[in-house]
Amino acid sequence: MNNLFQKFFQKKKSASVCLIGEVNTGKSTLANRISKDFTGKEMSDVSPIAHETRDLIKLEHVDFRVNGASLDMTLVDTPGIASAIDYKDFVQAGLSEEEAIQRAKEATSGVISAIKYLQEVDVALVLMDSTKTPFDQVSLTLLGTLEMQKKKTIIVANKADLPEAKPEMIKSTFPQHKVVPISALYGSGIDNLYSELIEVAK
Amino acid sequence: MQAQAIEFVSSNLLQQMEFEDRIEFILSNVMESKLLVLETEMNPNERLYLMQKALEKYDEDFIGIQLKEISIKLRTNSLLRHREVEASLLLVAPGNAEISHKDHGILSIALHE
Repeated sequence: MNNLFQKFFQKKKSASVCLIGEVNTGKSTLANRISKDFTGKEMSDVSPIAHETRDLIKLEHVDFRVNGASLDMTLVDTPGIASAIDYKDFVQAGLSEEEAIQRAKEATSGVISAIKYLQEVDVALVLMDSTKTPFDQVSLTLLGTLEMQKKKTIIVANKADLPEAKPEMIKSTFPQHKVVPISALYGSGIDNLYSELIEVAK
Repeated sequence: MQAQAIEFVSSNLLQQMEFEDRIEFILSNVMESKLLVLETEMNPNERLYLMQKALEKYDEDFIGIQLKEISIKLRTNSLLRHREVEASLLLVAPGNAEISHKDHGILSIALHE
């Protein structure tokens, strides 16, 4: 009887869903797509220059409803994880030296915040660029850490719309994980990702 | 920052240190532009922590680190049989190093200015 009462008045399940991965894998593009699909507005700035997202961006109480199930989601966009950030890369991308140094410092601080935040995450969407080989140390380290911490994880093989994309290589490299090929830019595969996400977050 | 030396660090030396001291030892050496080859494995949690600590020391002269785990096969011969043992080395380089696999089993480390 008590259980029935609890079930009846049970709050909607809540979960923090974190988009994490290397630099320029399309985390903010995906964050914007999810945000726009469920709240009608975008949440992050997107830029061709690396490390546009330099701090955690949280969107709370996203009413995520898929296939008859719902989730009170905190969507978290994070800076691209890197083990080294060279301000000279930003100078090459057209920033002044002063701007580049400032951007590198902010990006570094953002990466540290993202690494620390991993412990609080309920579901991690690890973004990978399908056009690249999935053997970089950052992705391997991130996935290994999530496995050790027993976090619910989905690998999002992004940029699957590009002709050189090989999402099947990501699938074969990480057979222990769910891998969902998508194009965050054009939306292909996104419904499949939403279905997997609501399933994993249960 | 150009790497000034390559140093091979034995597992014996590393095991004598507490974890935090090991991290500090690695980073202080890499910050002196050394490229370290550690005779040890680090689990992903430890590697991520090492990356975090490196970034906490960030300045214009020290931009972080590059990591590469290298698996090697060691063959031992005895009177009765040959044995093959897999072991791992961890390469920790300054952040300006570019570590890449070339053809024919060559691991290349290029150091940029």
